[in-house]
Amino acid sequence: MTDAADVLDLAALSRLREAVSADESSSLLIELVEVFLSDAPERIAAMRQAVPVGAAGAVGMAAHALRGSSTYLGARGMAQICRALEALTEAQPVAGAIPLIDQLDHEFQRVKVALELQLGGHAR
Amino acid sequence: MHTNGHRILLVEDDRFLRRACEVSLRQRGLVVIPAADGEEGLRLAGAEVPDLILLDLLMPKLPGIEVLRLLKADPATKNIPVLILSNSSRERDMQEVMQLGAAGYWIKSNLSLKELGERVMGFLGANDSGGQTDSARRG
Repeated sequence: MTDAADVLDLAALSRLREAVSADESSSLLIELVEVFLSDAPERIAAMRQAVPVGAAGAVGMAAHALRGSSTYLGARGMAQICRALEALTEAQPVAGAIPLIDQLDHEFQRVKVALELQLGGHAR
Repeated sequence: MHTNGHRILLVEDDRFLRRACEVSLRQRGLVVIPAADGEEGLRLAGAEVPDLILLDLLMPKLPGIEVLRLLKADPATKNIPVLILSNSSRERDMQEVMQLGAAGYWIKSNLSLKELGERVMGFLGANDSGGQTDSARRG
């Protein structure tokens, strides 16, 4: 069983809620989590497709984008892996990215469960 | 929603960040015009002539650096202040955009949405009175 606090920085989620009025905070958070849960697998898939053709820029761009949303949602582990992927694509052959992408995928599954627990099943 | 009249063009390709920033800034009374990529941002800058542009750097179609270059080369848009919102902390990126005429460089991962809103309001207030904050010059 995933403990949300092990996977998510709950203070980051609180900061997201605080940024908007109480009237909108729940619906916005649900909307943002849904966007994240929809976009993250697409970005991870895009990274996997880019590796065999040596498209380091595409891997780096997907990791860069995913790091931003992971940070705002408090998905620290994902943000760290994305940062490592960005650094790797700047300095090494992109083939070495596969283990990190696997790690990112695994961490995403944990984050997904943790977010669903936090929102009490409201996110799709 | 009461607005204070300031219109912000938000050019951000990541829809999570675009939506989060849009709602947060709108709650402060700002009119937010969202753009999903550099091409759309450039088009909306010319059509809407906003009071401020928040511009991401790493985007598909047209990178933020090219958007900035084109905005500053166009007499119709060159006087609109552009604040760069990026996750890159590379010194050369910062230097390049400041030389091109950006009004500031803020690192997204260093800012909560609340802090972003506060900084934008501070920048607009300083700009209205003819000055700029230090934080607007360097994020």
